[in-house]
Amino acid sequence: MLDDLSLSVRRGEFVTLIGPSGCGKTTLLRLAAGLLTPDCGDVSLLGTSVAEATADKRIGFVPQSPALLPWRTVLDNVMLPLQVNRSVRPEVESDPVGLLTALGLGDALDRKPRELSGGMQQRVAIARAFVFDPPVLLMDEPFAAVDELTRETLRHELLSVWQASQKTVLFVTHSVAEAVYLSDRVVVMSAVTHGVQRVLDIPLTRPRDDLVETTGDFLDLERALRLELRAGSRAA
Amino acid sequence: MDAESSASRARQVAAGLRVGYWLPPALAVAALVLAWQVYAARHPYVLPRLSKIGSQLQARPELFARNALTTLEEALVGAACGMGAAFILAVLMFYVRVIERAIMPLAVVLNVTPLVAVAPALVVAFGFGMTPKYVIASLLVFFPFLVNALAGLRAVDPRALDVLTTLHASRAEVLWRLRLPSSLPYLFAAGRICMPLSLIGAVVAEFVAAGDAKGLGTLVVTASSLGDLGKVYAAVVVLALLGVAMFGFVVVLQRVVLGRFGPDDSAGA
Repeated sequence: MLDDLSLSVRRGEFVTLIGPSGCGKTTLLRLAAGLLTPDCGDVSLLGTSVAEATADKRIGFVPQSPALLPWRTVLDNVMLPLQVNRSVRPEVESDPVGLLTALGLGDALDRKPRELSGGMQQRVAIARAFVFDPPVLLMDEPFAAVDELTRETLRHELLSVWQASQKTVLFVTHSVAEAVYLSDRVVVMSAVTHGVQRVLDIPLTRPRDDLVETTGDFLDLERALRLELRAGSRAA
Repeated sequence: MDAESSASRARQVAAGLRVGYWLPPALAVAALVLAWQVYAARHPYVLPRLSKIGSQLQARPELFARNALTTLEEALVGAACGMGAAFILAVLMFYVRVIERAIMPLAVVLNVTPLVAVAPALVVAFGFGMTPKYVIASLLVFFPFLVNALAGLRAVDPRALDVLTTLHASRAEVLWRLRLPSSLPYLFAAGRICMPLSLIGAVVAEFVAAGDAKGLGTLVVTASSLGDLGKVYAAVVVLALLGVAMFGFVVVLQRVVLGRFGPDDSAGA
């Protein structure tokens, strides 16, 4: 489905993929996660193949829905990555309780997912991806299922947790504001060519906090991105 | 969510106390009892009066208890073997396509064959002991449990599977940490079907193994050949109670297990 696409992401960079439905952004993310294998071409992460990167537990994946295991408590869900494929990277220092506390879930450690709101469940899914300290995070529209206000809070929280860690992130979204707020670069993808339409740099200084969203620079970038997306959909 | 479910439980209790809740089934039972007694009074050689059934149970409780234990053992051992074999085979079939291709047609043929017809042959093959009873009961539960276990192993959240795949979880880890817990509601649904089936299997096996002296099925055959209808129906009543107890056991076990490990402790309850 993807055709003639080339994209490289620098270490520690936060890159967002945005575009209309059917442009292949989720496909691209799933290729990077090793959930799909390319018919041709190759994908490499940190100088190794995707297969080696997953075998080495270097990828944290956050799916569209929280996909928590309903029979496990919040804490046990976050512990899951530490419990599977255990021989790999046993030296990782993890602090699931601290992570959950930082995400505002310190009081919910022993609760089951069904007792939590959608936003809280998604926070647990984020903690699950951070807990084993993978250098790469792949996030597939992680905030698609929550309401707009929760969504804003979640992106602020994600950025503050990420800023402390400096992981390389590939983030798929439909939201213009989300893309501008989070990213170093935004990759606009086209539903016509199934490839990269344009790459926009987001030169906002880091660390960013939620005030940045009210600045003129932010609004200008948001407008530029929105116009780029419109140009793409007009071409279609 | 907690407050909500306790409120709904309170509503259920309140409903239980309401006349409209228990009156219809009570009336239906009363009507059935009345019709039974009227018919039994006119045709005592077709239907015994309820008092006669009751006095049978009262007169020789140890006879019914002893035979009930035999039948229960046949059904439970048969069910355990059948369900265990079906589950192991389901896991193998799930992971090895060739095995599924090989086994599934045979399993379907086994399922559509009336096992009652095979039972006499199995008695010839395995003798008059407990073995043919175990075999017939386990054959009856095998297919429904196999099909449900396969469905359960497939019924996982694909996104949770994605997360485990990116962690390079082994097949055994995915099976243990995701597929097995996800399949529990299916396994319990199958258990609720299989328990009564195993009881049928045990009784049918006793029917065809005439000459054997144990079990409620044997009791039914010998009593009816002597025209002792009171004893026949007393045995039937005990069999019905056994069925209810086995079914109830699965339901209670389901509540306990799914409450701790299952996807949702209210599933199917």
